[in-house]
Amino acid sequence: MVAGDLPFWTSMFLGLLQGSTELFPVSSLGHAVLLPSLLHLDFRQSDESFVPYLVLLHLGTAAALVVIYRREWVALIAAFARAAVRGELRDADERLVMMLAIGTVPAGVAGVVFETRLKSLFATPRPAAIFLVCNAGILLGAEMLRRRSERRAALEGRSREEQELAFASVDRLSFRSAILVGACQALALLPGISRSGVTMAGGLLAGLRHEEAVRFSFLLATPIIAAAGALEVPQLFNSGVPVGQYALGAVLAGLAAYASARFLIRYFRVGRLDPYAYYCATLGLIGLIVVR
Amino acid sequence: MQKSWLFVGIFIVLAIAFGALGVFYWTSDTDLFASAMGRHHKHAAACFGLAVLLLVGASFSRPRASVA
Repeated sequence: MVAGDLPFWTSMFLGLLQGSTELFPVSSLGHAVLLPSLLHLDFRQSDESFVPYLVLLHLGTAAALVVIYRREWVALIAAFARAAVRGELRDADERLVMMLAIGTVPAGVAGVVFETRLKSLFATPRPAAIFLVCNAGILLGAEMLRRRSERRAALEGRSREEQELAFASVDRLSFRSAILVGACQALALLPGISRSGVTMAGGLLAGLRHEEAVRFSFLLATPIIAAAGALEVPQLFNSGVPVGQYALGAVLAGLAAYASARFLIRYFRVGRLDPYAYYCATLGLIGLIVVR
Repeated sequence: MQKSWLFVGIFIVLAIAFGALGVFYWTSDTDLFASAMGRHHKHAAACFGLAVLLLVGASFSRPRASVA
């Protein structure tokens, strides 16, 4: 069976699954690789058009992020042109867009250089289960270090809002930290390691508030997903797949991503990464036990 | 960032090198940093992106004229 033969409801399920898990720190790719095996869905992840279909679904997610941050992106693109020509940073937008540009490099280079080896991992669910457990460790580790910072700053006993206000906004992020967060994003090329999870964790370690770490993570996601889409999706349309059905899957992914982004932006005003870590650990362990 | 014409020169040379590498990946069959022989448009796109960022880096390295 080829991906072009994906049953309608399976492709819609994958669209909803990708869109709803992409922005949560739980690895949409890990879910897309692991869940079909757990649920015994009838298609092959090793098929050549599976990855381009996943990338098409990611484009739906990127579109949702562009809609949410549309005003910010217009300002950031103008800021990039201004700063690049002038050779100097004069405002927060110019600084942010340069950090996003630098932060995008590690994942972009790693994605291109290791593409084939990474794609081979998409066909095997067990590594995804292992990486989901690793993802849980990364999220819990970042929250443990954050709690230590809160104790050091004697913030224990204060309300969550007060604790969060003691940490920085994206404007205060250093370029070194932006590169660190970008390097974290490269880890998310492994199915099971969440892109939003590791970039949020990197942002927290760099001293950002949870809400700002989410904002930086979502902004950082857009260029890399859009670039991957522009390069991968043409392969999908050349392989004789049902374009309308797949486009509908991408729309569903976008709608689910929009709803989840709205939820997460509110959630992380006071929320933490811990619940998602426990979820990833549970799903990863189930995968390790059940999938052969 | 260090402001020096030396850095400007280094960034521009690297930008040209990555640009040329991008053209090479786009137009020639190669397996350089790739899994199989062929034209690698993704590698080319990554090289062009790096070349643009290196040019931005060159712009940021330009020494400013000091105001007397």
